[in-house]
Amino acid sequence: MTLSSGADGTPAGSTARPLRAALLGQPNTGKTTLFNRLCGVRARTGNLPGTTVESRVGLTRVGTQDMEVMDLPGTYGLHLELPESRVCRECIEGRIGDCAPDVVVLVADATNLAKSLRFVVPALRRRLPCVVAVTLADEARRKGLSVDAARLQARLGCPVHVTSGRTGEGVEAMAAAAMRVAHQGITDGVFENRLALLPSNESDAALAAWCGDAVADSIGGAHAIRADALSDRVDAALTHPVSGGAVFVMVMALLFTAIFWLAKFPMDGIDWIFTNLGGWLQSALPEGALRNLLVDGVVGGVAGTVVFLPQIALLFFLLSLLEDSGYLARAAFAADRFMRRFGLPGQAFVPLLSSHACALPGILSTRLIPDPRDRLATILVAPFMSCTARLPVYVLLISLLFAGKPWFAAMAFIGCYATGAVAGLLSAMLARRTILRGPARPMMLELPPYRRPSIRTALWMTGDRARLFLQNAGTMILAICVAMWWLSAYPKATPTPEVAGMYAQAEQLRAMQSVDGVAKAAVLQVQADAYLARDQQLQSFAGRIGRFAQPVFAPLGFDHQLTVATLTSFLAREVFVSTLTVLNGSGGDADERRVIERIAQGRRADGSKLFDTPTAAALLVFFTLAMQCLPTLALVRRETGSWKWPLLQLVWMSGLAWSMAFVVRTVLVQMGVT
Amino acid sequence: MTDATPQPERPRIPLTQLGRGQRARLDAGCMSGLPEHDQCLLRAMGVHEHCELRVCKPGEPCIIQVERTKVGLSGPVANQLLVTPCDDTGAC
Repeated sequence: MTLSSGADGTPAGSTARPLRAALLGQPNTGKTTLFNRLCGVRARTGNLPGTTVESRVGLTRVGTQDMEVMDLPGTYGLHLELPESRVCRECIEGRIGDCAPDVVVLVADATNLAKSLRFVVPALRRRLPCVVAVTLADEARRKGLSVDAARLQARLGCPVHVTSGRTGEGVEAMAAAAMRVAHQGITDGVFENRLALLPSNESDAALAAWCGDAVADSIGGAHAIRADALSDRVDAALTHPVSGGAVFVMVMALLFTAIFWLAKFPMDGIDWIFTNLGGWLQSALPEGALRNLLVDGVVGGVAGTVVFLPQIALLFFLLSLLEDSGYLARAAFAADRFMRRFGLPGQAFVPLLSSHACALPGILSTRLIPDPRDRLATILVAPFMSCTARLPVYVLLISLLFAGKPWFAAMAFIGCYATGAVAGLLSAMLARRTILRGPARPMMLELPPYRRPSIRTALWMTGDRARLFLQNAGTMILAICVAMWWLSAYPKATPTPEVAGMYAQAEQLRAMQSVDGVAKAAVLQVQADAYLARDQQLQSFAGRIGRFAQPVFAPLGFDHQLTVATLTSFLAREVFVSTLTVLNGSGGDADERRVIERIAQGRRADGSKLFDTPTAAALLVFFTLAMQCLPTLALVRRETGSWKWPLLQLVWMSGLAWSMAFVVRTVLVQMGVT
Repeated sequence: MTDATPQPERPRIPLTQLGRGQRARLDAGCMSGLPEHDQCLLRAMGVHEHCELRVCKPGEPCIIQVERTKVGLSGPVANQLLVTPCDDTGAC
């Protein structure tokens, strides 16, 4: 039997796609660098069909033909019962969707060939058209090692090419060989010859001995492995409870500062662009539903998506550098001591820290976590971390609670962050002991050698991540934003007689054409617009839902205004402040202090204060713990591949938020605080 | 005449008892205290029976080097790995 392809560069029986090569190898073997060298920007990341395991796919030009290259996840062995191993196994066997490769490029590390061969040999025993790419040739040369490809080829019974993804050495020849093998397929004779060369005894000891002989035969230079005292000392320092912890805190502080502070500038720029675009559309288009849809729905929705890009890009750029340098594996050990107490692995620390800037990049970075249960637990609790979107709500409520008491206000801020973090960690512990029960994967990590990180690889990864976010999560976020806009914008409120009178009066004043009259008309117009916006909020579908749901929030002291503001803030938490501003008739005011004063003076329908102390405290606790972010829910759906998990997250976080807010309010009321 | 007295078998000790820079060998059955899937993963990472290892850093985590691969192991894993220490001449 022959697995073969058409002579025109398309697989046998298919004319739809070019020949496909799958890169298969262990982690830290230079596989992704080789992929980037082959495909460059002609690559995209996506989940393998029917799985949540990622693979990058790109095109490379070989002679006059294109070849599709697939970068499978790194795995230590095809026989392991780990998600990445299972996916690689099923993919090369053609059992996952349409991803069967025409040739498998087995990636081996020239600096650690014996270990790589222990992965390559069992893969060669499978009846697959294969080529072996021995990578990191430049690094091996620096260590005084040289690989004799011909001798290794004679041992393995398949084409062997020595390559370097960094310098491009040997990559073209390897791609040409892969194309040739893909065309030829694998015949019975070729496979039997290969099997005859490989060790017949499949035990680990026999395999190790055979690989040792093959290395001795094909590697030239310094075979003796010397202890690297400097690397050992750095390892000891980076994984030490004190010095390792200190370095970890420092690196994480820099990372957090970058995504929290540095990203602020491009985010402000994006905000400025979309604000101006909205303003331009507002003035260029005639008033009506189309203008409202474009300005408030589409532009607002796109802005709400794109604004996250700088944080996501920065996070992935820096993480790529850290991973490439070899630090991230050491950092995982430094964090593991603390995180294990809550059932999470050390790798969960980075996503949770990133979530303090925004849960979206935090959730995306959970892909660093190898165990699916650990990863899911981290995704579920990441939104508990206080993100930047909560800040405007914290500012408003803490200003109301502790006006003129800066120290108390500062303590309250810290308390909010601490409450979110503690709730997240305890929830993770609970999840790992109940719905995600299972043995914790003990920390057994390969510590890659320290390397100078590649900026080019980091930029490629960042661009790819950003595009993936916009394509997948972004489209869903945009759809949700448009839907939420529609719920808030319709049905249109008709001006009350009082508001209609204000508009008429403003018109009369303008008609007088005096300076004083025009100024008074402008003030009146702003007031009338604010009242109309308030009526719109209350009469819209979202407003009606808010009024309908008010009894649910009544035990927390929320009236219909606070309930509407809470529900509309499901779009994004910061919407809470703008909704309250509108509901209190100060929509046109740009001065933050005046807005807070106005909201503080707000009254309920019965004339009592909108914000008494127990209600403000309950609201603060509610916002600290509640899942008030539809974009996050959309992303969780995408990352987990099911609506079950985001719904569970919504119910758990909202339930906990409601309960804790109720407890706080009840205690304060019982204490006589008003 | 040769000495027919069998050499006393070197005792196996947990990996956690080795000091920095000490070398040891992993023998058959040395991982039996670990779950099967952890044993498989360790072997795939290069920590297999009959291999010789060097302790780069004892404690938590325990960092060992096998051939050119460094592997970090959490305390409980390192404690379950039984090794035969090499003597001063390098024999294990």
